[in-house]
Amino acid sequence: MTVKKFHLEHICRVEGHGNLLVEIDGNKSKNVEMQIVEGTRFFEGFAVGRKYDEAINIMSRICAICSTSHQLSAVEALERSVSIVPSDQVHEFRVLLDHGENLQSHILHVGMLALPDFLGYDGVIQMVPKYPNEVKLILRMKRIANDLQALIGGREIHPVNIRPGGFGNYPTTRQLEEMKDKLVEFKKGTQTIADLYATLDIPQFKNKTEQLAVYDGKTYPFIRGDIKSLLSGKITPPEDYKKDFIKEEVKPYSTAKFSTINDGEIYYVSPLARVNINSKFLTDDAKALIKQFGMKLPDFNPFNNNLARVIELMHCADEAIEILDKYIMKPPKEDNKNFRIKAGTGTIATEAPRGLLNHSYDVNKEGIIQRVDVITPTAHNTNKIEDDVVKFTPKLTDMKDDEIELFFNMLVRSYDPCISCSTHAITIDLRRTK
Amino acid sequence: MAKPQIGIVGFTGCAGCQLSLLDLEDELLDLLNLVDIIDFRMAMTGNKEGPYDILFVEGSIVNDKQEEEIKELRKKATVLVAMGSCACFGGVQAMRNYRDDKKIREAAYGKEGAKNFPVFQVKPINKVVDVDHYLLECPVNKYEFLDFVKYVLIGGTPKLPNLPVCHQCKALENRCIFLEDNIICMGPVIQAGCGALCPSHGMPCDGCRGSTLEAAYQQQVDLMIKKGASVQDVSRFVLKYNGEDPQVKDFLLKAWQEQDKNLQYGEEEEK
Ligand code: SF4
Ligand code: SF4
Repeated sequence: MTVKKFHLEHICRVEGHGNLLVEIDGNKSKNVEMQIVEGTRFFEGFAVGRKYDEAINIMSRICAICSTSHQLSAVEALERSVSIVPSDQVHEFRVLLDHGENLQSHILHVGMLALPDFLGYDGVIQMVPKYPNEVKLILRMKRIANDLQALIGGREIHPVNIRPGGFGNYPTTRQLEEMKDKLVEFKKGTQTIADLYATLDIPQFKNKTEQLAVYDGKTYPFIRGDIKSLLSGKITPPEDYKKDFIKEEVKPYSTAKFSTINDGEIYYVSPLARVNINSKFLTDDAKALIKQFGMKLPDFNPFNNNLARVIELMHCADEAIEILDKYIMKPPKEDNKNFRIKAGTGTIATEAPRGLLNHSYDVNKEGIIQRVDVITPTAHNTNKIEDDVVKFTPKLTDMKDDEIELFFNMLVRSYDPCISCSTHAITIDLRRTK
Repeated sequence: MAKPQIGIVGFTGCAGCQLSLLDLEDELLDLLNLVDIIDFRMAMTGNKEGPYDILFVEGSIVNDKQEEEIKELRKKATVLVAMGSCACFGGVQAMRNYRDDKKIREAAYGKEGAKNFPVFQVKPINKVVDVDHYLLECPVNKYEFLDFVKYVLIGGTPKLPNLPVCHQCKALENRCIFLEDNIICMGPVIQAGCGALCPSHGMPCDGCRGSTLEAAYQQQVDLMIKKGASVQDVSRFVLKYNGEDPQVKDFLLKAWQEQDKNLQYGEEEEK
């Protein structure tokens, strides 16, 4: 039997540089490597020695598309380190800003990065002649999501308005009202996108593995909560994320780390994991989409991440409208800007658009950072992507080579990997050691 | 005139500059009528590697392989534009050029292990190949990107602005948080063009657009110290996005020699 070798170099329509190497022998995969080849940047190294309030802007440069998540995680964890307690208003505006990011990241993914695969195009640019209205709708929705990020965060990418204890300034009632109208329009658009996705032929593949998501037992949380495991039901407080739980290792072909839980168990994090774990707490219109898509929860098909993203578009738009309504009635007050800081450790688990994100800091009494640790969603998922390839390969025997190649490309894209994110850490080419 | 063939490529950064171009939702469709995007891996499959009339490059160069790649790309591009702080001045990762890189590696892999890892200075694009134009900000200012494309389409040569952020901040009648509230702000030495975005939110200018030509760093630092900054504070404020901005580098190396021994500039490529 000949060994077929697929080397998908520089997977497109993902953020950053990654390759996938698969060697198929008969109907089994022999060797699978998710090779992340993005250059490393050493964030944990150079954030040490910075003051706690400066690090917020620096950490967001780990990744553009999750820049809001990184800033929010950094600010929340750093506040814990130095014992600053933000007000409820601050928390709600952070959720609002975070939803701006979720909406923009998800509409970008379902509309511009994934949809071309299902409709058979190279990219959204090439879809314009045949699908002008759909492309216009997607661009309009993306604009609205970005407007929300810019209104609260000051800029669409790498917000400028976040600081310990709150925000630089708040929008006016007028601006909040305009934003609400736009989000109502966004919701309508989401239904159109959902109707489109309901007709698509989504590959049916299952890989039943453990999934993790932030959980608080009351809401569909993105910013604060514990880490819940779907299958075992285990609940881990954020500060125990490395205590007999998540372990990271380095593989010689990748500049990103690979993680496992509970000594070697493969797991994953994603919008689908969130829907699986927290579906109870979705808004009614979002729950209606689960029904429309005919999903049976818990769902273990990674391709259904796209459906989970559409469900979250609905949920986040709903919740954002609710928060806007509240502060249209009762305009936000200025934040307290004077606090005393203490030395300490702050660790937090949040949900970036792609899944669980951990930030942890030690800060001394002068406010200078002594230690930083970050695990990004893509670093959580690299093992799972390889595992999917191994499990799905025996089912691909009827496919032609170019179909197999497209299938693997789509599989990797379904994780919406954020490769610049995954290589923020201190990991370098290890091949030289062998 | 045939439509210009445009490429958009990324080296080491956060992909935010490329993403910013996708954030031109209202202008994207019009733009596509005027130019052909032949290479944009983050957004599409089926890319062509040149020849490019204009090649926009994001990110900094952090290893030998990238150095080879950018040299090859340069040969295929008529005009090469560095886009964003990473490409123009090294970006936040250039901070590590000022650290004892060996220590960082040793902390992760132990003394013996660290010997296996190559040291490589973070380089802005113009340290490796010629750059024809610079587009500033972190992420790149998408409107300046559009202006640049328009200039090229009508055959003009765009110029870099040379005004400090304070200029735009004053025009907006913002309260000066540096003078009035003693919050350290980099506005006086940083290139305008962002519309004084941070000061307009009551936040200090973080310096992501690089220095104005002949920026008065000494005066800026004197004022920072008068407003209560320590020597360490000063180096941290000056060194953020622009470690390889020649003015920042000259200033910091001089300051380091004179007083702040904590700051080190790494060795060039010890291999
Ligand atoms: S300049 Fe800023 S936005 Fe652009 S790639 Fe670098 S860090 Fe990202
Ligand atoms: S706030 Fe900053 S940018 Fe604005 S005038 Fe003062 S120093 Fe200049």
